[in-house]
Amino acid sequence: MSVPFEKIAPYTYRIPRHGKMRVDAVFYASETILRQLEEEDYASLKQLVNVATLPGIVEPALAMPDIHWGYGFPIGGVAAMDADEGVVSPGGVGFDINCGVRLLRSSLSKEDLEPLKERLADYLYARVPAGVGSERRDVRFSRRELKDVLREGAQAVVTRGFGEPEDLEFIESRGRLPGADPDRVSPRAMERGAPQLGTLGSGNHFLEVQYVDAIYDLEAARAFGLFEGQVTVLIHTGSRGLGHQVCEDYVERFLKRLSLYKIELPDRQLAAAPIKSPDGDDYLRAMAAAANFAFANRQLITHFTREAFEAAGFAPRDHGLRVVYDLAHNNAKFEEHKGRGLLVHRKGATRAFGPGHPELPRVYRPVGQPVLVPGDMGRYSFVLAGTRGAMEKTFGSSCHGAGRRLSRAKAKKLARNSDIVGELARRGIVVRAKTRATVWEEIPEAYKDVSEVVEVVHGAGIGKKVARLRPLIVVKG
Amino acid sequence: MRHLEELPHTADLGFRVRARSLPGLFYWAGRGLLAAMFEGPLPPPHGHRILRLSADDLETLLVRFLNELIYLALTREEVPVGLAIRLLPGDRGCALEARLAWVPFSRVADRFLGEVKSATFHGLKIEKTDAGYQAQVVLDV
Repeated sequence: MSVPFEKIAPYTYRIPRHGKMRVDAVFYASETILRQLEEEDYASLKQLVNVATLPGIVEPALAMPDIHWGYGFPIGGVAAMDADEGVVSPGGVGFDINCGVRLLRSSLSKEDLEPLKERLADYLYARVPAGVGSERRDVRFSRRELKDVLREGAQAVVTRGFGEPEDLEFIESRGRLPGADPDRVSPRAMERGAPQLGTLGSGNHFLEVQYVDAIYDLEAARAFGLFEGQVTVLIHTGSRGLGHQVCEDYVERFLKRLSLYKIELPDRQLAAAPIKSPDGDDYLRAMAAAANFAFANRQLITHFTREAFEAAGFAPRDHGLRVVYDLAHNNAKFEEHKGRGLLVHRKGATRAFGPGHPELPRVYRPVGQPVLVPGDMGRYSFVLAGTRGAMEKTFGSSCHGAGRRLSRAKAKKLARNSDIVGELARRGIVVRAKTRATVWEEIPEAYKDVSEVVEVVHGAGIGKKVARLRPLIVVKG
Repeated sequence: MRHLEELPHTADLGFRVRARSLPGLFYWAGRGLLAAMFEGPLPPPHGHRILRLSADDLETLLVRFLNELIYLALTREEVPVGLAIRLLPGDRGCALEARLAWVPFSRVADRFLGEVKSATFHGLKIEKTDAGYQAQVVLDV
């Protein structure tokens, strides 16, 4: 089955409402991305069409240019639901609730770092737990403290000395989603999450030390505190096993209630319940708790990163590590767009509020929200800024990354025949990883060139290029 | 019969599973999951555990079974290396009893390929075929 679509503006395509779709769908793509969509037999566009059938969806169902085939929702999908009439779908948030990225800036230049790069890589690897079963035995949380984290998010760990109060100002929603209720989180989710607070995980999660190698928008870069040659740190992780279990619990629960709520689904992974129902409310409160866990997780890793820089020989006044921004790319949030209350699901998509939005830190309001777009560990990542165009067209949303080009099996097959770590070292990138397999899966060739995605975002006006970051150290689980 | 066939899923991990019987389908789905998490032959078991699960339908039972294996391997650090499965009539729907032989995660850490977050319901339908049963499994990794 093919999917009908038409070009309506530069880089912008519309799938007209057909079949059981309740609204049109819109996606963003270049010619290259269109060919990639065709190569996967439009599997991700079919998923976007499925999303457009959900009750209460507000036009249009959206996909960002890093769209690719997921489960239920496409990755890169954005679905805004009417806050009164719509549904909430745990699959529209994903298993890794509030998976996201945090960018730190430093006072160091690439030249300052170079002599101590290997040493810093060792300390980061030692201090930031990565991989299954890894934890900091000196940083533990009681059950009561864990509940505080679920209610209060990043604030709960800053209060306990892990970070600076100033960090909170530069986290989406100040690192705390309101309404979180730990009692809506199952005992198994708590069990899975308890030892994982302050851990990176494995798979595509990482910590990268990078440097700014290009500035495209000086005004925005200045507002974000970025300058050419500057050392930065990008942290990518989420809510770990706690979030995975919350999603599992509520997908199953919602599937049982579909007939009660008279919801018909083209794919069971889209399981949903009305926002204004006891089931919907329970999920939203559990999801907020998991999101708060993720904000606290990235906060702890920020603290461990500062520790590692200090252990490597950079005094706090020298490294000057500060949070540029922390944002979620798997979430559902209540927002107001064009005067209407909506619950915006972003699954592999980033909130990208434009200039002047009152939710942004005061220093960023003139230029818009930082949008952090990781690429792959061999090339580069980007910092963009949210735009008025995004507010107008995409419910204030933008892309979240490069998107995979190769399956994990194909990537591993390719990587087995080469010395990836050695090749990256020759390009000046130091890798520390728990397992070879994780590095193999994540080789640069496994990913599309993120600049292709970024050019579409920039060209379509749903994000503005600010800076490009190149990796120096990669830490993986 | 080819029991496991990888699906060309780029972001996540999927496979088609086929077996002559329903317990066989669950067994091979479990094997497919474990092959996604660990490479190579796994050592002899260290302990055993009986797992009992029930669900309203077979698809939910399969997802629940796979998620239980993920939980045991990654949270309890008991990696299943042997599976013996019986399907039973449940109070409502269907039920399963599995005898799991396991090894501690630490003994197979060097063979770990990466975390699996969860089994999904995406495109999941257990179908009767001329040769037995088949299903498509997509894992979030």
